[in-house]
Amino acid sequence: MKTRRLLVSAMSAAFGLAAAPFGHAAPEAPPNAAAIEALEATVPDNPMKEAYFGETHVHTSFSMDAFIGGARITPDEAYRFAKGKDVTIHGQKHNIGRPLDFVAVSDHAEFIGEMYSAQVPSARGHDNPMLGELRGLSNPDEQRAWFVKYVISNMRGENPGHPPFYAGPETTKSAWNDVILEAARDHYEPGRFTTLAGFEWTASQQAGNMHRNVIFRDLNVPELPLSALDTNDEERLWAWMAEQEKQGRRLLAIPHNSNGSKGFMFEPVDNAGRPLTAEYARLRSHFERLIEMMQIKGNSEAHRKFWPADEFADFENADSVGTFSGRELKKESFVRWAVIKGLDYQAKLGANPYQLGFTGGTDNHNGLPTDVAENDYVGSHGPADNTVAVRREGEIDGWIKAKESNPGSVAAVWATKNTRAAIWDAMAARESFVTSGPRIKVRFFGGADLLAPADGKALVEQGYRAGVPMGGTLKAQSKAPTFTVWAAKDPNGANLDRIQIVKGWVDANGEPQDKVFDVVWSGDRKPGADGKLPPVGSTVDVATATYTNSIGAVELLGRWTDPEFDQKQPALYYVRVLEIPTPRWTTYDAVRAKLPLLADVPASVQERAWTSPIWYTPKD
Amino acid sequence: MTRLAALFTVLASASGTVLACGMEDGASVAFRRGALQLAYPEALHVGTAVWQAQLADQLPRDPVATRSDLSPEERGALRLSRADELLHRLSDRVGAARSDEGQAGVSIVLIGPVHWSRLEIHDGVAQAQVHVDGPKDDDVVLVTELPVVEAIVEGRLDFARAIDRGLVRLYGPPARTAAAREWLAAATGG
Repeated sequence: MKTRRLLVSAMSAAFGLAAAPFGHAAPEAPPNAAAIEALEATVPDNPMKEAYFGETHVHTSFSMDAFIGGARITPDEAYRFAKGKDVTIHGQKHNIGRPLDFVAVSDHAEFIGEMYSAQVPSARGHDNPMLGELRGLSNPDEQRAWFVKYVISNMRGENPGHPPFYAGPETTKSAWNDVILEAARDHYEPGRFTTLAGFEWTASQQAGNMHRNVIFRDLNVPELPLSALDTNDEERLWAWMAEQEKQGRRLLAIPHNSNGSKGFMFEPVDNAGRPLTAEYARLRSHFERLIEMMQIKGNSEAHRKFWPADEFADFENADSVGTFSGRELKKESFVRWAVIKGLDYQAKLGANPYQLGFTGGTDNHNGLPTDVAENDYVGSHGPADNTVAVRREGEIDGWIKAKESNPGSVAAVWATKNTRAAIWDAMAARESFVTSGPRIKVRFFGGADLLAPADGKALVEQGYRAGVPMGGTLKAQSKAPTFTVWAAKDPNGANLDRIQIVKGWVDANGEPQDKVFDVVWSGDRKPGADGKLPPVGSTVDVATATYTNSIGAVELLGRWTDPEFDQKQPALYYVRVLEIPTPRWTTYDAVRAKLPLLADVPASVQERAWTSPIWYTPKD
Repeated sequence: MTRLAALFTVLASASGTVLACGMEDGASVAFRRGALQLAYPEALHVGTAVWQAQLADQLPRDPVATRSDLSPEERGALRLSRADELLHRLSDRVGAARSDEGQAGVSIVLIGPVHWSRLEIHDGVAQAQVHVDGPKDDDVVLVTELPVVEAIVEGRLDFARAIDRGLVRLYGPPARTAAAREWLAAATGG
């Protein structure tokens, strides 16, 4: 607490910050570990589980790239925002609207020590002449050159290292313990709001994105996070995680932006160029339980270019991600391809490296967790997209055209209660789903003989009693499995169009195959001769950026049996829920600013939710 | 310029990095805009204040933004030309006001495109240098956006109100910024 107050006043002094955002009364002193456990025990369990919405991917002023982009929101203030407090972002008062249930601040581990030195006058290294130089550079060309020389080039080289103004591991420890973990300690309210300790390990291979967010089950964490400066090799990251487990810690890793990974995220070989082994697959899937499906830099589920038969694959495809930094969009970088390819490894190795559940996140670099409202978008990367003008014409350097970005997605879990352990356990069990922004709730169960449920409550009771939930595995069976699905619209959002099930399998050559089935839909639409369901229509008025809920359904409930089931063929099934069309954020921007609609991005979108898959494995 | 800063500039140039203002090359402008925040805290707040004022129809909108027939390069060229015209008109306007001989130069940065200009005092009269590399060491730095300049030169806004509403921010030693504020306000009727 003392350190945080020191930091707040220090940042105000060092960077001219207004005192107001930090002027709130500080939370009461956090209880100790025993008291926390006692508090957690008083929160009642719901065996039927509840949906909790949150964020595991947000950067604050302790990420160097966020700081240079103007972010001055600290981890403490990020949690306050998530709990519903106003913040000032680039001079504008801003509120999340609906508080979140859980958040992990995931600052880049690489330079948190440097950021501590830079922001805290009493910190070791604060008086380093180079940092003084940085603070004194008034010419932007010189500032840019400073960062290119000491940060950017350093990270992209073969052997990334700390910049010369790094004052040693004590500063990293201070940033980690006294700022990041301290904020997590302060803001944890069992039963109401969960803070998770985490960091981002930010490795890149030839500008391909290999980043992972590491999330801990509790505050039993190491003295220092692992950064890409320690190792740029994800296999060593997992080895480090295994070492942490041996010391009694529980942690998982969430890869993201596989769409920008140049195909490196799901390569057929390990980092030494050897074919994947069962050991590799087991280690990877032990720690990588989830993958981030979508974030501000695009949707990684699927891309219209590679899945032309999927009429809903054209959603936040973020094509320009494939044009920056020598990146190229590849089918093998997308989540749908990877999780299905995992079935091939399962069959050949006896272990599946890509048994991934689905989660969400924003990757905001402005300190605002899950700030995803399309009609109140303030950008995600500070000066790259903080005004309508730059959002329409600017770029998030090295990554994407701002107009092709989106406000990011929401992580959601089905957990027995809102505590660290329950939220983390749901993630580890892959009982998770992700939405592209709305707070859609979706249930998904699979089993041998699931009956058509009368309502959502019956679906849940039957599902847990006689089936497996999302993230689970169905064992060998002779009959085609049945799946039950339920979705409810966001109470503040748009009605639902339909629920689909995406089935995946591999052919005789080990190549991923998939098919999308419409399971239940709104209205009395009938599939045409081609098997396709007619579109739900659109109520969007692009001239006013409005829509009405005169079409679609508030709730959808259905049961589906795989008509093409082969009991010997491994398969997976995941659910995609589609909303009726609503205006895209660019349309809200254009209408408010009285500007023409952008011609090269859609004026409306069908927001959606995805569940983690249910796997079918013929062999026990 | 310090020796270290000069070294960085040389390094950047040697590596082929293009360091142009955002109207000519948008590739690095977001980075440069963010970097300004280090030297000029809360400079980014100006951009937000300006677009909120535009949404409230209190400031003119960018006429080029509605020209979907133009390429990004053509839009940049038109904006650059408009900035040149408006900044020269601003110089003419403030140059008509008397100023103390000791008045520091004022560097104006349009934060959207990171476009720099300078107003210098010679014999008590301001002279404009439009589109320069950056501020001189002793300059007061004025952060704003082009629609604010436009409103000021057209007499619909004065500097004092622009500063009060966060549409303009001044940076520098207090005595110098106060003097610059007084001079500019007097020149524009504020």
